[in-house]
Amino acid sequence: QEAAKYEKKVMVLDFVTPTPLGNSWGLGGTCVNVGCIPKKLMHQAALLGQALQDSRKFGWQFTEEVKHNWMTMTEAVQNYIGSLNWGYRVALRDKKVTYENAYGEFVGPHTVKATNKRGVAKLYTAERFLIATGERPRYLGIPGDKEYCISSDDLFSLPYCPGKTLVVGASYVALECAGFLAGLGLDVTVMVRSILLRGFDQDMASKIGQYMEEHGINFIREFVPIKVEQIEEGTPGRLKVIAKSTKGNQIIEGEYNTVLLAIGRDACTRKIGLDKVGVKINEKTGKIPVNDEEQTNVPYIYAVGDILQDKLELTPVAIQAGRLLVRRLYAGAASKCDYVNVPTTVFTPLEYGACGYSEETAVEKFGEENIEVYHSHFWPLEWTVPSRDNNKCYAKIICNIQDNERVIGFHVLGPNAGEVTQGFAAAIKCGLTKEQLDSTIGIHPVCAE
Amino acid sequence: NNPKPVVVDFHAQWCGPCKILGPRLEKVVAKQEGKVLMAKVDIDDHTDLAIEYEVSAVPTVLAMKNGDVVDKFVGIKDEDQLEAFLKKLIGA
Repeated sequence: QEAAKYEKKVMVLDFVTPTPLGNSWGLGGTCVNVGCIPKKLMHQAALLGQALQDSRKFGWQFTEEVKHNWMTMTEAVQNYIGSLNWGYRVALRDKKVTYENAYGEFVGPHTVKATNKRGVAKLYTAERFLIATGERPRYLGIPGDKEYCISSDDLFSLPYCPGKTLVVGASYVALECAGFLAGLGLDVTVMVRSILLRGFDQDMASKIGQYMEEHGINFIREFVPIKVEQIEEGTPGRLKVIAKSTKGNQIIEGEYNTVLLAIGRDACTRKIGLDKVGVKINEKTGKIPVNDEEQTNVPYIYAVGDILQDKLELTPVAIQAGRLLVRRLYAGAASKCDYVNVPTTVFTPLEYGACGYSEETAVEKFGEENIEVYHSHFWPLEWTVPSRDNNKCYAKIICNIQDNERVIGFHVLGPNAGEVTQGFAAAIKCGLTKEQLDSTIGIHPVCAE
Repeated sequence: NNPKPVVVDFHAQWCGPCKILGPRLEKVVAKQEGKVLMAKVDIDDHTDLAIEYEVSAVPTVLAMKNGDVVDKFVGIKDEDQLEAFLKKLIGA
């Protein structure tokens, strides 16, 4: 859309290869269809369930038992996504961007082949190309994984309630999904190979895990599934999962209605003909190294989003990088995408917002003696009356002593963590120091203060 | 190609207001005793058609006579408004 603004002739090739279970979706990418959007809506559904319980303490009286209907929620979420898919079609049409629902792959210099779902292929040439093919969930590579397990690509449009669920993985995807499924009243177990939320501040990660465990989610740690068998077909069916310890020979078995794999995502860069045009990728990870202008080793080919090596896998980052790139190419702008101090939020039952360094990375980079960590537990006012946990919500900032106690890391665990964190990210971008933070008067009574 | 005027209801599965307008429009069309025909187009099943007729939001209802779009409206209308819309199409 940005390039079309500058009178460029633009085409978009978007194609979703169906999941092993045959699921597919419309225009908009992962975030819109099988990521952030449905995730946040289902997380909200779970939060509302909790709110209903809290409401009794605030005087609301209802005698009917409160139950959750998976189909009502899923249909509503999918309807919203459908409107977004259509909105993107209209937006592209209005900006005169040509859209083809076809699988694009390079076949030679400046040339791509686009194959639609009926197998009809057309060739297109262009002056420049932008690769933003994203990632797809990884499978375990064990018997029964593709036949019987689902991934996040299937979960948000599942046409039946998943029932008793085993979530395999410890990524934010795994924990967020486990979190809302449990919040909707389902029996949820999380099977973790080693640590939770690799790459995130581990002190915060362990607090998130502890909260989930104390709130009814079972954790099986240091085990990996080695086989999934079907006991009974159905919607949902019954599955048997056999798992082996990572620390010895112990084997365990469990029965679940649904097994959700969330062990990681792999870049969609292996089957798009990059070898035909000489674009170098990291053979091990499939990710594409780019310079600070999102350019690959082939000058007329650029890349943005989750497929980039050593960059953040976040929708707003990809969007920003793409827009700035186009402005640099066609509008004479010079701004490059700033990948530092990008705020994020994990929407686990106890939400976690962060911006900047984790404590361990700060210690590694600056030395333990050069950083100061200020931290505190807090009890949200809204949690007092319903007697919810008074020692779980937590916030810390990491400051660089050698640089005026500059705030280099911000971490908050509590309700509305995303809303809380956004403003602080802007302050951190402006070089927020501990002194400036101290002299900022709080808003009372809110968590952010 | 139809010698009779046709009203076209562009709708989508995910559109709440469409589910209200659809049956209401059908009822009012039926009252015209065959003087106007109705076509229903699901914009996700027939996206090219929807794009060709410049549908942005749904529901979008087109009034067609001799292959030309002579009138249109977007969003929900009540029965009286639909009646007037159809009478205008038949009369014109």
